Amino acid sequence: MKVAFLTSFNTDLLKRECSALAEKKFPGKFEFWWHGYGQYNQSVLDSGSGLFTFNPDIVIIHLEIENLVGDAFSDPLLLNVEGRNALINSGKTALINIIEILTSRIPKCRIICENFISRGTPYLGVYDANTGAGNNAVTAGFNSFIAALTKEYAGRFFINDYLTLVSEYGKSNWFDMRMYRLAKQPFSYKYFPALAAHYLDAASLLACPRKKCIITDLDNTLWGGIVGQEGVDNIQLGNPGIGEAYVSFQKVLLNFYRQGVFLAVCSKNNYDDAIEAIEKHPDMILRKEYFSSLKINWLDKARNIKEIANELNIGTDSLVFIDDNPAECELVKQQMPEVEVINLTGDPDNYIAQLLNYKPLQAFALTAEDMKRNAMFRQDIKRREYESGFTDLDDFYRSLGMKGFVSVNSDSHISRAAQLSQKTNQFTLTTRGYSAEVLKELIEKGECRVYTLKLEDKFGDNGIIAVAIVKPDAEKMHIDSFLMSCRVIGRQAENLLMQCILEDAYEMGRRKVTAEFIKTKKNLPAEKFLPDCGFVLNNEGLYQINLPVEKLNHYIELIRD
Amino acid sequence: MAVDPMIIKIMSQVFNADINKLTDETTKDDIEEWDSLEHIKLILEIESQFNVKFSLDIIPELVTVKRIDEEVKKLKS
Repeated sequence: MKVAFLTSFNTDLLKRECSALAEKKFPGKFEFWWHGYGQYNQSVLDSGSGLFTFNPDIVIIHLEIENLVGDAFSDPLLLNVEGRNALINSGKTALINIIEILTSRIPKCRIICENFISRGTPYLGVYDANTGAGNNAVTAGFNSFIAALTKEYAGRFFINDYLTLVSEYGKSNWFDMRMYRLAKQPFSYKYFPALAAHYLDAASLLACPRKKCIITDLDNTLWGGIVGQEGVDNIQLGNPGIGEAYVSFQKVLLNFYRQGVFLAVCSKNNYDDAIEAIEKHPDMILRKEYFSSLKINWLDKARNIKEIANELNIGTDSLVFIDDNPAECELVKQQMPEVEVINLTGDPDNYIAQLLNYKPLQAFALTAEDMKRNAMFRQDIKRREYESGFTDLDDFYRSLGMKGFVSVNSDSHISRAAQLSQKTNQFTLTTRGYSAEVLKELIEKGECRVYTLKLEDKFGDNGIIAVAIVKPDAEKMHIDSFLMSCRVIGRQAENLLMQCILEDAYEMGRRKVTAEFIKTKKNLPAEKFLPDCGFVLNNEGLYQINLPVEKLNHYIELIRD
Repeated sequence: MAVDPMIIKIMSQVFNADINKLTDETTKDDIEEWDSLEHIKLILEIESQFNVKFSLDIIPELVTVKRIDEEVKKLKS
């Protein structure tokens, strides 16, 4: 991943820190580009600049409000409203210009913009916060301005929370104005590591897959004390003091749940004791229904963790294990080095800081699927229970009342289609990952048709679960990618989507469709799909089917928009 | 009073220079790498090792080993 920095300050001292940290934390992953001091505008405006030769995947923009609005900041009362607004607007226009040029000249690049905080105490003192002319108002205005841009440039423009970072350390620690006077960079040397980590964590959110599940211990993690010994009435939870802090920690986990992270329990306890606390304790936040899996037994935790991964059908490398017990943490670390282990220490309030400091569980943007993931998982469980009541699969499928909504080149589905193409590795024919930008470009050029399938049934909406990318040429359609979320394998949804592609091809005057299967270690579930649909290998080594063909789908009501 | 040997040590690290070639008499003119940016790095390194903070007006003057030593001792006393 190539990461370019656009900064309003001198980075000569900082860049060494970033490179060193990148080598340590993400060996070989990142390559950096920095402009000379004061060159950020020129680097963007000059199409022949080093920035464009470098061709970054990610651009981190870190501009200081003092530089963006000049006198509107240093002498707010000199100017009348119009004069001040003119300066502020020119700062905003400068920022928009940078974003516009970057997104049009480097279609693949994604922008991370640091939000704004002023370096020091406003020159107007207490009056500042009381006037719209003050530094406080201008800074807040810029922060809401860039917040609005995340919608306008969805998927391409993200905000990194520099404001919170600096607030945590405090301005008087973070900034060292001697450094600004002498070297044109305002940060105290002491915080270079924190700033470098802040940049790299942000870049890695875009460059690495997000962790999917938090597996938590119970005693002294979700509540204080040992429920098996002390009893449900005596654990510390909810009461003022430390019990209140455990409630806050549970709320942090709840926030991850709402963002689509699975929660699971792995605890050495008698099942009944623990469940009683989870279900009956009046101050418990995370009731049973919030957990996708509960392993409450006396088996070793590594074994339980593997089972949780199996049940949720996710890789063990996407798990985060949290526990207050250092011995358990060590055991899991040794047996499953791919699992991220966080040994919670100190007060529950410290747990909160530890968990929130671990960035790979976080995301700059959430898709509708992320928001619904946990609700959909609950539906899946109900569906499985329901399925077990049937002996005949046909009956089961029919009774589900499935509806499939198929769209072609739908704007609002592109980011989900891209996301699925990047992360699906089981039911997939070719494992080709596309970014939303590339897909949009291919569609605009008329080079491909992007099919998306949304599946609903009597238990609820599964969301968009299958994607096909089809490339037409003069005589045939070629299926470049075909993939489906593993959650709906075995529901015949793939047949519905294939049928739509074949029917469309026929209607568009093609008499054959070709496809590929590229075998990987993980895509066994898709191996038989093409032959099952009636495709046969042709002499070019592609799977081919001649049109028209019989209906493939028998269970799902098709709705096309 | 002799110069604190720590200063020479930090200097050799910052400038990547042979420690034996640095003496109490070394100045900015003796070391090619000692430009304005390296100067800041040196000052920051000295500040963090000795846990001192030089004032803005002094920093540009700290261009000889002796002068740095003198200032560190003043702040430490």
